[in-house]
Amino acid sequence: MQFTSISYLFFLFVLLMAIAATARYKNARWILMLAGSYFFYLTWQPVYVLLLIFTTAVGYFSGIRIAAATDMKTRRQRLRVGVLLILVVLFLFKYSEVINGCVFRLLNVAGHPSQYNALDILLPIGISFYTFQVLSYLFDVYYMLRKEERHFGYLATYVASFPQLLSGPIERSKAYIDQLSAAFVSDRQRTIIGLRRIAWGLFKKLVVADRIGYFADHVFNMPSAFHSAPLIFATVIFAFQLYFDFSGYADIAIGSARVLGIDISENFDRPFSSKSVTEFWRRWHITLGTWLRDYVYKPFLFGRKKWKDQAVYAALFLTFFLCGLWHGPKWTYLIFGTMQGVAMIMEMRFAAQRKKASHSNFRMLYFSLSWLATFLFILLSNIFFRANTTQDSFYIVREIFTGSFSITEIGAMFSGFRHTHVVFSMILLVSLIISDRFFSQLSRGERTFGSVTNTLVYACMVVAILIWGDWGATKFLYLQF
Amino acid sequence: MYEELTQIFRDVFADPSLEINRSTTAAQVRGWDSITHLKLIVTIEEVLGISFTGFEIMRMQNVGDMLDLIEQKRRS
Repeated sequence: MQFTSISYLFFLFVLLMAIAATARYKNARWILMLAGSYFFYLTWQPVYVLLLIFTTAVGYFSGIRIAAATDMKTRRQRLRVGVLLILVVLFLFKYSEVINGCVFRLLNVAGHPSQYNALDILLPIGISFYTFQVLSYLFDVYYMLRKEERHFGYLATYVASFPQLLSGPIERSKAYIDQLSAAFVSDRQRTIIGLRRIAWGLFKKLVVADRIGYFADHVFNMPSAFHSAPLIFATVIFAFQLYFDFSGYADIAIGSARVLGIDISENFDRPFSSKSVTEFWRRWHITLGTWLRDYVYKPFLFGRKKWKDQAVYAALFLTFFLCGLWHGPKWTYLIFGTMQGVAMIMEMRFAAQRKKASHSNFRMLYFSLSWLATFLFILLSNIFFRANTTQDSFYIVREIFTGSFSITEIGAMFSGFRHTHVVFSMILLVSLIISDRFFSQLSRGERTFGSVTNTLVYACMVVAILIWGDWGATKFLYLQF
Repeated sequence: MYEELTQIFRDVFADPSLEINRSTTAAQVRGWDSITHLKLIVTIEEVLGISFTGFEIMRMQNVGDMLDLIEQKRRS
């Protein structure tokens, strides 16, 4: 059941009605949320529900065992066992292709390649996200930032919570469970804000991201057929496709949770306004960034404080190398992650000079150039993020920097598409880039029109989704992780 | 202790008018990121002659946690 389907909206409506009707029973809310979340997951991959249960059980029992430890050594050992069990499962499923390849090569060396039938393992959807939620729970218990959760139902609902189950935001257990365990109170205004947020997410995904995605796919699926100009244009288009797709998903997730009375974390904050790569990662996929900061970067950094500056550089590199690894078993993701780490190390290395420039008489020029350099860097690293193969990514980079540039060749990327489709999509894209900040604030309830204008704006949005939306045709880009 | 810690904060953040209290968190002080935090910890260790483990640093959520830990270390 996709977020972009009528059946999902119906499912959300039924769940809301059931939770509201049983609000006076203390346990009804988490039971309904848990049942709803498992039903939601069953509509995707029924078999892998077992994996979800296994990860939850490991989290539950490890949390209790960690909290019960009487000395630091035991505490650390129990954390390691829990984390290892969860990471082994994540690695086995996420890297099954790599494992298959290694086994095949070993048998090939031994002269028995035909004896190996590669395991055809599908990636369990959402595994990267829900395992990170369980890990954050274990780390928080280990660092005594929260008590162990003794209520299995609460923890299971937190892990499986359907709004953020498949693609985040990666939520923290304490904030979530505190809300889940409180009584549900019907709130018309909260429901309206939640529904508006869902409408805004659907609009970004169905009307804009999917529409412009066709052009980016056309080029990235066959890059060798294109020269410099269309490759540059497709890279720019992809950056906005990814942003509107992924942030649209987050809007629907946040809106759905809000309708059910739970506030979950924001995942985006105008990332393309960033003036440094460090700032970009505070605005883009925020919950992954803060997860990596709190559970990889900081422990590594503070555990090696005697290294001084070298500790910062090593921690940054490790963190973003792991960020690349988290995305999957492709060299392009590792290059993407490493690029982020190296860029941030450079920013840190020249922090004093940057601070001086930001206080000089030329600060406006400095800020403008910093913004431009950051945006161009993000575009460049996105080539590795999107390219189907390493060879493709190197071809695109080489062609962009050394190929002959002719603006008239941009038309080549639109060949095969209707003229009106191209013009309409580009107008939509530019309009959305300009109005993104305004509508983001509006959908979060931070800004408002009068009630009549508000109703009119959202009515237009819904009509646009119904007329131009490609319901359920394209999956969200981050479902592959 | 509170005065000593305030002075260390002012030196590290290069802000002679900086005021802190037990409930002050990193989010409330401009420029208090993980790198400044590392500088802060290293300076406290040098000035007060104590040492924090990585686990202890990770547990500090506000200035109050920091003060309690320093007091505890100085007593033992």
